[in-house]
Amino acid sequence: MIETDEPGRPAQHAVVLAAPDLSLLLVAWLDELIYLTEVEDFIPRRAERVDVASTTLSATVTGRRARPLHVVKAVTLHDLELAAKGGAWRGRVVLDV
Amino acid sequence: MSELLRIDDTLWELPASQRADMRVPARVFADEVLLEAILADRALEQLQNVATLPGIVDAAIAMPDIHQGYGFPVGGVAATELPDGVVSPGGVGYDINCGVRLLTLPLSVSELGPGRDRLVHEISRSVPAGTGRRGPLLLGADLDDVLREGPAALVARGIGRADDVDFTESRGRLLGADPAAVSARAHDRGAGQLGTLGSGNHFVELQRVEQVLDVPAAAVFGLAEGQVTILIHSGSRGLGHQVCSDHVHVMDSVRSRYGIELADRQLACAPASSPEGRAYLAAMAAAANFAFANRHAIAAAVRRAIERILGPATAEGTRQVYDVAHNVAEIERHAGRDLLVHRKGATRAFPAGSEEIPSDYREIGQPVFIPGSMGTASYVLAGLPGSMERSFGTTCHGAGRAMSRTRARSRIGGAELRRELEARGIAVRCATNRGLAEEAPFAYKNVDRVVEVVERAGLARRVARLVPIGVVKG
Repeated sequence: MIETDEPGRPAQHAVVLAAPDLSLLLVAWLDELIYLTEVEDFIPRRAERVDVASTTLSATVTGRRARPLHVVKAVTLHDLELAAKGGAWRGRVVLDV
Repeated sequence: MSELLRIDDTLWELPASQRADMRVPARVFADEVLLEAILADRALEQLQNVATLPGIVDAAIAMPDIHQGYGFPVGGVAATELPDGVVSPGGVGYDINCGVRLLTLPLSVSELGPGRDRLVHEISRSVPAGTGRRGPLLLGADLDDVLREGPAALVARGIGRADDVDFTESRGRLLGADPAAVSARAHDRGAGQLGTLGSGNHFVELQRVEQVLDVPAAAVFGLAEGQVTILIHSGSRGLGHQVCSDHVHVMDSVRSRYGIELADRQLACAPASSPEGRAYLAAMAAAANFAFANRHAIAAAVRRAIERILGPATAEGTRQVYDVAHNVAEIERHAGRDLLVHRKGATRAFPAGSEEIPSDYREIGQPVFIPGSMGTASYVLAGLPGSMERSFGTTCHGAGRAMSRTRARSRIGGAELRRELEARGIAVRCATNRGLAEEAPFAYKNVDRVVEVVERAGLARRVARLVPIGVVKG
């Protein structure tokens, strides 16, 4: 989703999100990563202390501060799917690149 | 799509009777070859989905460069009747007012000579490309003036030329823009991006006028064979992307309130007269003004590069032909009705006589610029009366993708493509080889065929064919 050729220094962001349902929460999560990358020059690598409820999400995202080469434009609702099956969640999100 | 009916030489129709939810037919301008490419993806299914939008009139229309998008196909046109017809942010797209601006230089390619490589290099140094906050114009609070007034706000601050504003669609300013309707996140994303190219298919291309096809019109537009031109393709950057995202979500959350059922969630919409509809139109106009200003600032940077390489007289003599939007929704009057015309990957092409056209061009028709794929030709067109009769004053916007970016990358490496282009006399500057490969010429339809169709359909006529001699890719 995000490319960079710079090592960058370590950084982290606390993320707290709310959305009407789980599928939109997934969209909001990806939207947040795009925002942090584009505005803060933050390249996310790992999400820690992730807490997801039906309409809220909190997490600490760790990564590096570096100049991105490529970032997706947006997260669309086109063909958006998220469903639990066999003890796992499977989702499909279409990104505008 | 077996029930695709041929209406005439260049027009095909999927009747509204094909689906219970279609309110109007879906029509596509194409020839047999382009139609085959169009049928290879879900573009026409998406056009049928557009035909279900509340308030849509006459037909959902596709240009010959149509291809599958997100919800609304790229190359699609939908007009909804005001006041209660809907506005759909997805019908404009994420890159609000993505568009094209053409500059002419007062010299020929032979006069440019070896200055070509130095000029392409200097433009690549002067116009920030790629993603992020790279722009030289950090305007802070002044950003809201740009959102309200477009490029005129930059001219007032000594950036660019006033005559460029006169030769910009809508004079670079959509009415009703309200910076307060643009979220803080959108402001954040736009603050440092004014005057930046972006990534994807955005570019600054150095070109040669290879052929004049309409001598009187070309003379009025200031184009002559052998002349050097520069085509700038960019949009509203992260600000526009965020405006679209914000308002798709708002409309997705209220559609049940308005009793709207949709075949694709990305078509989320609300009546244009509703609070949600008005808020989007105010924010979209602000993002469109930002995009006009973005291309204005890029043109100013290009002129500075020209001055450094070719001298002040050449920079002073570099003139803007026009600037057109190809992702926008505008209120227009057609056949006695007030309509909201959504154009997503489609260009306004009003015919001669329209008061929307600068007086210098009014007897010719609106100038339209159709970029081909990287390494192939681009066209200058002029709007024809048929556009008003058949497509709400609209024509195509480009060659149109024929394959995905992923598939293009699997077919050729960026380094190999760069060598191929340079062997054909096209100087290339691009931040990444991956980005270059995604825009390989074979990933697009044949632009010559696309513009032949719109000319035969009576939407716009060809004025000049331009070929690349250098490209700075975002």
